Amino acid sequence: MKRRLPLFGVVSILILLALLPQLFAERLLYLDPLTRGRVQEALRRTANEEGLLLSGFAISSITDDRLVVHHRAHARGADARRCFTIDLSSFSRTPCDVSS
Amino acid sequence: MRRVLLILGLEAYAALLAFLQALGGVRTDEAKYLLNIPYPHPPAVRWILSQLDALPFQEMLVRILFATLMVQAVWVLWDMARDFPRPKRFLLAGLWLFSGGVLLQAGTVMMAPLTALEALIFLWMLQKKIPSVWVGFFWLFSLFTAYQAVLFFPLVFACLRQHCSIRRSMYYLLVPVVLLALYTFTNPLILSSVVTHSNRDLESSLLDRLLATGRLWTVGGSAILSMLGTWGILRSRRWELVASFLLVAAYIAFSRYDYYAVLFLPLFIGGVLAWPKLLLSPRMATVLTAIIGIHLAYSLFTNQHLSSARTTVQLLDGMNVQGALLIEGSFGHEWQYESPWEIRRFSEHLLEDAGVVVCLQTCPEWDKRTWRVILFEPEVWVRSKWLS
Repeated sequence: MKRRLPLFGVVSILILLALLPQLFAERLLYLDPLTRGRVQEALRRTANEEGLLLSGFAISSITDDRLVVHHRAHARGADARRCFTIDLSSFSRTPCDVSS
Repeated sequence: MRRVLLILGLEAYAALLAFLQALGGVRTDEAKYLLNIPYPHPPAVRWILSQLDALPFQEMLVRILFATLMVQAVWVLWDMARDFPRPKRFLLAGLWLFSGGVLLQAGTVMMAPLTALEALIFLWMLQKKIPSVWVGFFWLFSLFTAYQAVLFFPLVFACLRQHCSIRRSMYYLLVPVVLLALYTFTNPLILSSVVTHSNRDLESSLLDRLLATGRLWTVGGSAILSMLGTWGILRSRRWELVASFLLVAAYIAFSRYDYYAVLFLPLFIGGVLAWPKLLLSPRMATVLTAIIGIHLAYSLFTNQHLSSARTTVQLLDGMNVQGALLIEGSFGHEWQYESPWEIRRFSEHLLEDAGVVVCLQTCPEWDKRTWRVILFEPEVWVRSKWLS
């Protein structure tokens, strides 16, 4: 059993390493209530204006003034993908490269 | 040869349950898992399912797969009851196969039946004294399948304590929980969904909640297994069974979703196995369970209606429609699953790229000169050029 303990530890560390980049990208959501509120509003507006479902959004990066989100229209087979860079003060958005 | 015939018979039963569930089409929660929509549950199983989403028969394949797992799990029970006389083993198998949990949920593409199966495997691991590291891995997988697996942590802790010190048991128990918590923070949609669901049914009285929990307790084990299992849990005084039972009951009292009835099922089996004296008059108990279970299934399956998403898409199927499908009004993820066209919420400026508009509430006004209505319930508009 002792011999196997590291295997469980290694797998757990690999999962942790896989999660850390996304946690780091979203840190301002949890550390800054003002940014969190602006991100919520930005996503709500983008979803309404583009007719997109909120469940398809994934946050790629957040800074004090800018949000980059990817949207995936979950469907059978290949999913349509979009990317938006959103200004967090004016909520204006510009498309970005989906592979970014 | 006899065993092969039994396996085939069970498989036919699983296929029947899957077919009956398919009559209602894909439900919104099922679509989330089939399409790997990243809430409310973690990704372990839904990611696997999504790898099959391009297959035209994905829904039926997964229904049969899930039903097979639930029905063929009877062999796990068979193994756990190895020391019982044969009639009692058959009774136990009958109680499982005709329980409301299996009959009503075996063919659904939901995480609740899988969680129930995982709890059954933990009971098996407990009996077989499986090494802690495998318990730890299975616990990690279970948690990343569905959050409600956490309700069975007393079973997991009991498994771990058979081989490990408290400190090492806590390591195996808590590391997966911490990883799950971190995963949850990477997906704010889950947190938002939890907040939304926690506000559901707040006005329900205590009595309402108790009655609803009692109803699901009855359904989960088709009444007979519910009574035998609960009595067994109480008489055996096995703390891990009692603790998990209380956690499941409390969780159901707060959440009140019918599909959680199946979470009681492995605990009832654990109760009966822990106090086998309860397995009296096997024939009578099996027949009663079957009658109640079939009655429950009949009530459910005769009231199933095909979703409007499927009927609408079937209607549009013969037309050469192109462009997005816009929906006015609140809709579920089953539309994403059924529709070969991209689903978007209705907005007038999106009409240019749309081929179909579906109104699930009053249709908004727009210039309809190039559109024709082809259905009134729900109201479906198609661009005239795709109708010729």
